[in-house]
Parts: sequence; structure tokens; C-alpha cells
Amino acid sequence: MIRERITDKEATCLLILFLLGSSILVGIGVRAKNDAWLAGILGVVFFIPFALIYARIQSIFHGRDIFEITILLYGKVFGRILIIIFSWYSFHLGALVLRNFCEFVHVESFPETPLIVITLCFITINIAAARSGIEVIARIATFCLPVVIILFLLMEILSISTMDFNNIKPILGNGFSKVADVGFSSFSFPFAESVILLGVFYTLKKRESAVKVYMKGVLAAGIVLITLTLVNIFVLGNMIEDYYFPSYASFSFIKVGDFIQRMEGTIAISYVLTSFIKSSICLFVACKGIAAVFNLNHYKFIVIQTGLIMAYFSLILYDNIEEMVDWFQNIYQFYAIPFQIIFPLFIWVCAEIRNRSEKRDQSGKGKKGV
Amino acid sequence: MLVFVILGYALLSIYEFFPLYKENKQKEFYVNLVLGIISFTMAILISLRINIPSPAEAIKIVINYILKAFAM
Amino acid sequence: MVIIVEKNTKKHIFKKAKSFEGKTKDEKNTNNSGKLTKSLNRNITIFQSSFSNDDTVIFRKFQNQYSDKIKCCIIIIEGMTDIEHINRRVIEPLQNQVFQRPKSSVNLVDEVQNKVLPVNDVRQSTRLNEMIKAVCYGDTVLLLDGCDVALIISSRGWESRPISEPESGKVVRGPREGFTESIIKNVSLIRRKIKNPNLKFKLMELGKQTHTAICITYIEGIALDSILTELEQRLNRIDIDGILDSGYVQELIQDEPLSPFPTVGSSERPDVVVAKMLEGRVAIIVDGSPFVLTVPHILVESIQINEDYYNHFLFGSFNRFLRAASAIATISIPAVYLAIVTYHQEMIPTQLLISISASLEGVPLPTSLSLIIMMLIFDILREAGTRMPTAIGQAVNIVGTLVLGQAAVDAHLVSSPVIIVTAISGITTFMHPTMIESVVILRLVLIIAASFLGIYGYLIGVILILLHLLSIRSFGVPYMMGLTRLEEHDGQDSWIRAPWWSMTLRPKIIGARNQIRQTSRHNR
Repeated sequence: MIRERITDKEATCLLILFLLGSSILVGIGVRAKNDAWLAGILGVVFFIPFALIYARIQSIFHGRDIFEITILLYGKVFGRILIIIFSWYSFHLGALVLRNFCEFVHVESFPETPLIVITLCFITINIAAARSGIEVIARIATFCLPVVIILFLLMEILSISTMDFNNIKPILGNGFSKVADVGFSSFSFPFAESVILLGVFYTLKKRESAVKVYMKGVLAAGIVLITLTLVNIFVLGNMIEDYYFPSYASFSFIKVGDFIQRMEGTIAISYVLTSFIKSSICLFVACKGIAAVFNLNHYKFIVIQTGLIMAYFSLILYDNIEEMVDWFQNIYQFYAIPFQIIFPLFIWVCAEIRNRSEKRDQSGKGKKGV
Repeated sequence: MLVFVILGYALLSIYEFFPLYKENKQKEFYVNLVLGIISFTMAILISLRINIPSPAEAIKIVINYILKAFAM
Repeated sequence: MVIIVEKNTKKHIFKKAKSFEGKTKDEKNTNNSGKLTKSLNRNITIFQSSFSNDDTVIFRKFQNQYSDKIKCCIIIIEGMTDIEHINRRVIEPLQNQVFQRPKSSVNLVDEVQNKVLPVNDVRQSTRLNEMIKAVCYGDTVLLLDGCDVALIISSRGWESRPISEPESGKVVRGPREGFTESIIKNVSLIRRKIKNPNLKFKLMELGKQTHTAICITYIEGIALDSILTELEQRLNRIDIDGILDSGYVQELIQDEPLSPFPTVGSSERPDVVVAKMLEGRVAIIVDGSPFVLTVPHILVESIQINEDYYNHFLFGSFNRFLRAASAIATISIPAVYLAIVTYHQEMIPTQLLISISASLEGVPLPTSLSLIIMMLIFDILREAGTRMPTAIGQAVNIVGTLVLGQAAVDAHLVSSPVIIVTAISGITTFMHPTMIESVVILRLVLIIAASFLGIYGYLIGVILILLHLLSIRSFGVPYMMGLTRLEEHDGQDSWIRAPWWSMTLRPKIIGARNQIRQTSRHNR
């Protein structure tokens, strides 16, 4: 089998789209109302040390995926338990993204079509993408990113006429503690979700590129998300919390002349692309994880079944959209702690210790040799 | 509905399982079989409109419990 | 039309092909003893039994006018041989020249070969198989009385089409000559453009019944060995009874036989083929087909047209942009129209929405169905138009404009926007003739996807197509090369056509062996 390789540029595109996936849909830090943008900035700031940790793990073990690393550090039994935890998270996240997006399509465009039909249609492309491998997903990401960015810029420029810049005041009207609280939830969604990409970045070409990719990707995605949040606040004001899909709502106010109006259908394109990339990566990593647990030769054989289970799982998660939004805003950030913070810390500490001792061993041997 | 599910899975198994079985990839075959059975049961349950308990509820209860414990 | 007789020059390139003889079983059955006898009449009988029930084979017996002892017979097939050449260069000297019969029989053959026949390609043979095969190829076998060795005289010559401008891929600016059905002419057309000993021609023979000659052409030092060996392997795997066009070979050596996208290129123009060879590709010439294949073939080549390179680079780039845009438009427009009209009507400005819904008034079919039917009718008209004689073609055109036109709208069979959409989509199809096959299929797939899930269905379809495009390869080269991973020098000849003085490198991977096209950046 040819080893898959992705370039730094592709990896950055992948990371940006991954971070934008479903977060542009439901918005970040909406609970902080018109301070949501501050919460977003806080989220980025909180996340930067963790991004460095993730990148560090990848660059210590260059060319190995997170599953190999875990087994290497924790042995076959405990390592496998960690892998199960990690792939569960990836699987669950994939299902969440899928549900999010399909719920959006169901609510906004196809209320009469059953949710299962939309989900099955959408999981088809995820399965196809995960089966074709990470190189193909990465190359599709390079196609998608310009489309997504251009669409957003266009929409944001067009919606200038509907903006009310006073909406941003009062800054910190609800107190700093609220912003800090929401800042934590925007840390866990979407930024720290990029822990999943540890299962992907083993394909990077150079040892140093992990840090660069993480920093560039997180900053770029942060800028896009915060601008978007600001636009939403300027357009919607404090009502931002009342919408399930704030950016969709704010772009629906666009009206330039008689011809350009109701442009929100166009922005749905970027929702599709980002959600597609994100859930495909999740499915890919989950399948790789399952393959690693059972020590399979190749993950490709199980993609279809895992994808189908993911689709069904996303269907049974919630009964309706209110439940989903409530879970996302109140439970998710705590649920994600073990996967986003504890798991990487576990790996990182152990990896550093091992790395140091190995270096000492090598230098010791060197001295003996002299 | 149920007929569609069974038909779909029959086609899928011809596409997926038989090649694996023929190539004698036992481990892959069994893992895939287990996953296939899980997804098949889920599909049937969904098609019969039987409510499957959602793990989201359980997670919510556990997390609320832990949060309360910390807040104490 | 001027019909010219192909002269029997350059016959030497067939020698390699000749050495393939004796492989098939049916030839061995015709061979009784495998050897000739010393008696001329008996030899003739052997040949006659081999060619029984074939009246086109001519056995012409004659003797020298000065010596009765020198009796000969030539065996030729009518229509395959250059009769004039045989008359003047073989029969005439043998009849009229004075020469003595040497004592030993072998010497007679030597004598005739060395002193009598003024022909450049003559060889001796003792094997019956070889001789029968030579006759089938259009060569002449000369039997001499008292000798068990025969002479095979190259005399192939048949009437073939002269070099003319090909019907496909017409150009305003650029060379107008095109390949013909004759492999020799095609080889010479390529050789005339690359006057270089590094230009290599490898001959093979394919088809158990037809023995079609196939020539692999490449420039040594530019073409990659890996592509070459892979191609040879694939060609050697072919086990088919007959090859009538290069399309057979194309389908048999394709990477993705189920893909609607072509992974082997074909062109009727020598300048196109040579340009591709200069980029490191390998060409395959098939006898009897004016379409020369090139591998590897990637997607970018469908929007690269030879005229881009001959015109001003800005104009070329603009045309290329138009081609790329229309490629996307032709498969997207019907699906997007359908999605918006059926599911996302809020996106249409109110005025336009009113006029569209007015036109939908009284139309019995749903938009999706009428769109599919109109696309099918368009494809039927296109297919009918290509096969029709020109006189009947006009009738088809008139009927077609009625069906796809105002009459259909007036009869309330379809709505007028559907006709406009079909027309735009249909016209843009012809911007890239090599892609018609795939475009027709993809368009229908996208229409069906959009009729289920609106714009989301369309996007799902597009993503599936992109995934497919990104995962297939042609002879180890990624199919989307040049369109993704735009790094240095990579985008010069894909979305745009950079000016010649700046295209210093060959495309990556394909031209990896000899990357440098021009040494200096500043040679303008």
C-alpha cells in the first residue's frame, strides 16, 4: 500500500474546514448574547496551549497515527481502552455533526422529508469520502475552502446594509463570568474538537509542520468564526440566542435592490461542504480506531457499516431540535473534557517522559562508547 | 419499510461480505459481521418505530450528577 | 478525392512485427510439412491447399526468355500488393535479363536476390508459415523451380485515404493535417515533427485473427520508464480476436473501466500528439484507426485545446476559462434550475418567480420529468445528427427546433425556462468534445439527485463526482493533477495557459524524468 501524504497547505485547509464544520451552523458562544464574539476570542486563547500540545504529540511521533502512539505508550491492553475512548468520541462527534446538519436541512428546507432519508443521503458521501482515504479528503478540502471563504465574504459584504453597529453595546453587559463560562464552551466546541485530527496528521510530510498547521489553522478558523459571530450580532443583536441557526437567519435579511434577496440558500452550500469534511474526518478516524482495536489490516472494510451505525446513532440521539440545542449548549462542554483535555494530556506527559529518557539513554550510550 | 431494509442489507452483504469471505480475511470478516448485525438491528428497530434509548440522556444525567457533586 | 497508392517505403518497420509469426494454432494446421520441396509444381500445390477457397490469391507462373530452365512462380494477393511494382521490378527482370542457372539450387536463389531483383527489401525463407503470413500481409513470395528456398519480396501497397484535415477538433490557427488509417503514414507524420533519434517506435501485434499492427511511440529521455513498462504490460495482457479501431485498445488498457471519465486520451492531430509526447506522454498508434491514443490522460487535458498554445496567451487563457466554466455549467445548470424551482423558490426574485410560475401553468409534467425528457430529446437529436447524411441532417434540425422550441411551449408540453435551460446546457456540451460521453451521464445523475433533495442533492452529487475524480489515476498519475495542489509551476498550464517564455518546466510526475523544457526564463 502506498503511504498517504498530505501537504501542509492541504492539512491547514482540512483543519480550518473541520473547525468551521457545524460551528458556522449553530454559531459559537451564542449563550453570551452580544458578547459571543468575546467568548469566541477567549475560546481561541484558551485553545492555543492545547493546540501546541496536540502538535507536540504529533511531532514527537512523526509519521505515526494516534493509535500507534497510544499502543506504543500504554501497551496493548490499556492502550486499546484509550483507543476505544478516542474512537468513541470521534464516532459520537461525527454523529453529532451529521445530526446537526441534517436537522438544519430538515427544519429549513425539507420539513416533509423524513430525517432518516436526509441522513442516509448525507452519510453516503461520508462513506465514499472515508473509503477513498485521507488524501482525497484533503484534496477536496483545498477545493472547498476557497468556495466557503468567498461565499462568506460575499454574504458578509452584502449584509452590511442590514447591520446595526449599536447591537454590540453594552460590551460585557452580562458580566465577565458569563463570558468566561461561554468562552469555555466555545473552547470545547469547536476548537478543541480538533483533537480528532491527531488521527489524520500522521500523513504530514515534515516533523515541524504539525505546529505550523495547527497554529495557522486555528487562527484562520478563529478569525472566520469571530467575524461571522460579529456579523450575526450586528444583524440580530441580542436575539442571536433565539435562533437555532443564527448565521442562516442573519443572512436571510439580505436585500440589495430588487434582485439580490433571500440569499441564505447560497450559504447552505458552505454548510454542506464544511459539515461534509468534518463528519468524513470523524468517520475516517473512528474507522481507523476500530481497525486499530481489532488489529485489522485495513480500515476500508468496515467503513460502510460504521457509517451506517453512525447515521442511525445520529437519528436516535435526540427526539427533536430543542433537545439537541439544549444538549449542545449545556452538556457538551463537560462531556468533552475527558476526550479533549485529559486524553491528550495523558498521551503528552507520557510521550515527553519517554522522549526524555530515550534521549538520555542515547546520550548515555554515546558516552559509554567514548 | 421493513422490506426495503432487508432488501438493502441483502444487497449490501453481497457487495461487502462475500468478497471478504472469499478472500479469507477472517478477522475483517468477523468484525464487519458484528458491525453489520448492530447496524441491521438498529435499522430494523428504526423502521419499526421502536424507541431506542438515547445515550445523550444518560450522559446528561451523569454530567448533571457530577456537576452537582462538584458544586457542593 | 485523390487516391494515392502507398509506396512500399519504410517497410523495414514491419520486420519486427513479422517476427511474431507462428504463434497461433490455426496457422500450424495449414502447414503440412512446414518445408518446401524442390519441385515448383508441388510447392504451388502446397500453397494452393493452404489458400484453398480463396480466389483472390494469384499464382503467376513464368520463365526466363533466354533459359527455359529458370521457371518461377509468384504468389500475391490482389489488392494488397503494388502490382505495378511487382511487374516492373520482379517479373520483368526475371523474364528479360540474361543470366545462367548456377549449378546448385541455393545459388540460384542467391543469384536472383543479389543480381536480378532491383528491390530493396528481399529475404530468403524456408518456413512455410512465414511465407503464408507474408502473402497475407501483401508481400510477394517468389518460388523458383528446383529450390526449396523461396524469396519474400516486400510489395505492400494498397489504396488509402490521403492526409486531410480531420473532422474533429477543427482549428482556425494551427496545422491542418490529420492522421489517416495507415499506420505508416501516421508514424511518418510524427517523425516529421520530431527529427530526433530519441524518438522511439516499438511495434507489436494484437488481435489473434486480425494481426493488427500497433506502435508505441515515445521520446526517450522524457517519457517515464514506469509508464512505459506499465503500458507494455497492459498491452501484452490483451487477448482479443480482433482490433478494428484504437477504441478497442483504449478500453482494454483503461485504469478505471467503470468510470465515465476517459483515462486514455485520443487525438486525430499529429501536433496534439507530439505536444503530449513532449510533455512525457506515450502515444499508441493502431493500424486502421486515425485516432492515436496517448497515456496517461488526466482531466486537465479535456480543457486544453491545441489552439490555446498557438494563439495569444491571454486569449488562450480566456478560452480555457470559458471551457472550464462551461464544463461546470453544462452538468450543473439543469440540476440547479430544477432544485431552485422545485424546492428553493424563495431564492428567486419575486418578479421572476411570477413569470416562471406563469409559464408552469398548464404544463402536465413535473419540472424534473420534463427536464429529463427534454435532455433526452436533445441527446437523441445530437446522436441522430452525427450519423445523418448532410441532406437529411437539415430535416432533423428543423424537426428538432420545433420539438425544442416555441411549438412545444405553445402546446403547453413544457415550460419555456426548461427549454432555455436545455439549450444552454446542450450548447455548452460541445465546448469539450472529448467529454461528451461523461457529461451526458453526469448531467442526468445530477438532475435525479436534485429532484430528490434539491440543492443538497445536487451538492451531494457534485461531492461524489469530485471524490471519484480525486481517487482515480491514469497510469499512476492522479487524474486531477494540475487542478489541485497548485504549487510552483503547477498551475501554469491548467486553469490558465501561461505564456510560452514562462513555461520552463514540464508538468510534474508525467515529465518528472526531464523536468526542464527551457533552460532560460528570459529567452523572449
